[in-house]
Amino acid sequence: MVRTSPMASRRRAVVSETRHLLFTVTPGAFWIFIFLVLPSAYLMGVAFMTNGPYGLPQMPLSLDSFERLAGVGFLGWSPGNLYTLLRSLWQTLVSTVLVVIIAYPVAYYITTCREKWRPILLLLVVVPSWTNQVIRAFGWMNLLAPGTPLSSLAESLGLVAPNMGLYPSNFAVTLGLVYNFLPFMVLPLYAAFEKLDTAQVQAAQDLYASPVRAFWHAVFPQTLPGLLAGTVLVAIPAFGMYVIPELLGGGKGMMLGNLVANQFSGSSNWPLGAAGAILMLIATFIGLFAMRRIGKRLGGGEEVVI
Amino acid sequence: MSETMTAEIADHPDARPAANERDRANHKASSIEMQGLQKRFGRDTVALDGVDLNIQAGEFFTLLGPSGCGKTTLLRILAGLEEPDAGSLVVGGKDITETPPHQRSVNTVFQSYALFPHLSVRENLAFGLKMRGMPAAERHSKVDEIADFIKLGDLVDRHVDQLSGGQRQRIALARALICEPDVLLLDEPLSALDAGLRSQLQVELLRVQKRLGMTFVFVTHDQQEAMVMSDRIAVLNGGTIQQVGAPSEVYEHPINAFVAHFMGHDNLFAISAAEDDWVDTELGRLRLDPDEQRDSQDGWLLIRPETLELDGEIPEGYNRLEGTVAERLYRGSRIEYRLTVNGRSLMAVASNLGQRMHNIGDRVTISVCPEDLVRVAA
Repeated sequence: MVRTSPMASRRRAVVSETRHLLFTVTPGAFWIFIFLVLPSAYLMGVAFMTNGPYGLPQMPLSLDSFERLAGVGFLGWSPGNLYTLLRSLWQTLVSTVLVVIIAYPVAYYITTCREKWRPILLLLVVVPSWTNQVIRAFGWMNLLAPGTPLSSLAESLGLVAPNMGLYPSNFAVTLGLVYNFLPFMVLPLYAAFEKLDTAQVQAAQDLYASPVRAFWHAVFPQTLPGLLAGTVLVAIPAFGMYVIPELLGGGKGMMLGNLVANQFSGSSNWPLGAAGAILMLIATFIGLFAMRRIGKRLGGGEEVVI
Repeated sequence: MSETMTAEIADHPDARPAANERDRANHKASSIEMQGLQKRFGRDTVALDGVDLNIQAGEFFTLLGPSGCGKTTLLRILAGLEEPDAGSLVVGGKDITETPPHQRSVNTVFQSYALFPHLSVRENLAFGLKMRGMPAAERHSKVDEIADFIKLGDLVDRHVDQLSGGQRQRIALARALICEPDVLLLDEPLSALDAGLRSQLQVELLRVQKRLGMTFVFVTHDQQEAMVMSDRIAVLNGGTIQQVGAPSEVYEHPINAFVAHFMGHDNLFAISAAEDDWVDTELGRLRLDPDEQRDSQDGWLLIRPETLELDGEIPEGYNRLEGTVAERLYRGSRIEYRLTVNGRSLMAVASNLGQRMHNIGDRVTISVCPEDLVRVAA
């Protein structure tokens, strides 16, 4: 019988582990490289190039597009792009908050229903998102345009100027965003509510917490991971949303997504579009980072995976 | 609490002995009176079917019964987490039937511990005090005291998920004790622990209760645990109380067959006929104490295995049976025999005093004192 030295067997283990890693990681890494790293690098490169005659990027490298993005043009500084950024942030914030306010009780309500009804109710929440976004946006147009009952009602209540209708407007964009992203908040919140440990809630009540405080100290922390996951699923796509502001916002409702898209089509300025995309990426990362911090603080230092 | 805790620390040789007597009297314990408590779940499930029960101040009282007997429901009604359909609940002279849980001076140690996983041990311990509006500095020192008290002082800044089962159990106990409630409720707090830790914590829990003089209401399905810990036990079945009494009373004189079975008795024999001082059973005719009478003719005869003597001298008036040894279980401190008498199986237990052991197949003479035989209602 040949005795293998511990050194040799360890070496063999290392080799097999390396081979195993190579097999499993390579396809994924390849995928990420082709479809994430390369395009991002390309985008980054384009952003630092100069705008050519037909909107295509050309040498030399410059910071022109970032200056334009910041609002510096031929006629001096204009706040247009800054407004677009702020509007994007504001719309994201407002629609996410509204989505949370609507989705939280809905998700809770579904978990209190009988077990056989729950999948059906969840289906009802999700079904609208099976229809194309564009079609749903057109639906809202028909509901909110001047002369429709909803618009007339809003006009008669003095909420909007006469004959203006609810669409196109920033309000219509907010409404469209809330409607569009509601399922993405309901589902993770439902998952959180479903595995809620009611013993903790009872323990809080037992330890002198009023119903409101029991909610805040024992229910809310348990739903926080779902809430943060939902916020990521809602806020990030909402921030970069193109279709809804395009269709429901009119000229006044433009968001960053529209600004970027325009540079690759209508007004044709690829470097500016690339710079806008990078700005969105940075803003998203800052948002994610902030959420992680908030999650950690509210979650008592626990890692909340988002 | 600070002073009562010193009392517990005084149990250890290195602690200050002074505060002991002064503080034990400090805590006010509350009595509990329950009357006609009823609770249904849905249409058909009767959890409690009219429970009347008085628990004295400072008593270690145990609700014992199989799962579904209503013991946990009763505890939850005491905590205010469940509302009774009918009946009243008075704690410390105050009717709290309608009082919501957060306004009751009653705290619970939950079976699952129900610690808050997003909070540190310190925050868990301080939770009740914080909800009552105690200032942070005061909370801090209270938590330090109770953490020392339960010997987990070095763990207060950890996270709950870094604790072992036994540590969690202690934190759950301390989280309830720190509030100094009138009544402490314990819902099978030891059931998730392994046997060794369990018996260790049983002793600790008992010691804490005696030191603090607090009223403890303890729920368990383990009759051994109930007997070890309790001043009195209530045995429940099907939403009603079967028997209330001291452990020895419930064990030695179970009121009916259910209680007898639940207290771990195997030797129950149907009575076919009875007179003043004898009964006929499957084992044969046995003499018993004339005081040991029941109104009804039928029922059961209970023979406790430890009252049987094998092949011993038989004093005048003792019952005598002949049997064979069918099984022998050597348990170290004692030896259990399963005997066959008249084709019926009879358990006997002998303390291991070094006497000769009986072998399987041996014919033995069994004797038992008439006063040790107990008649049990059906």
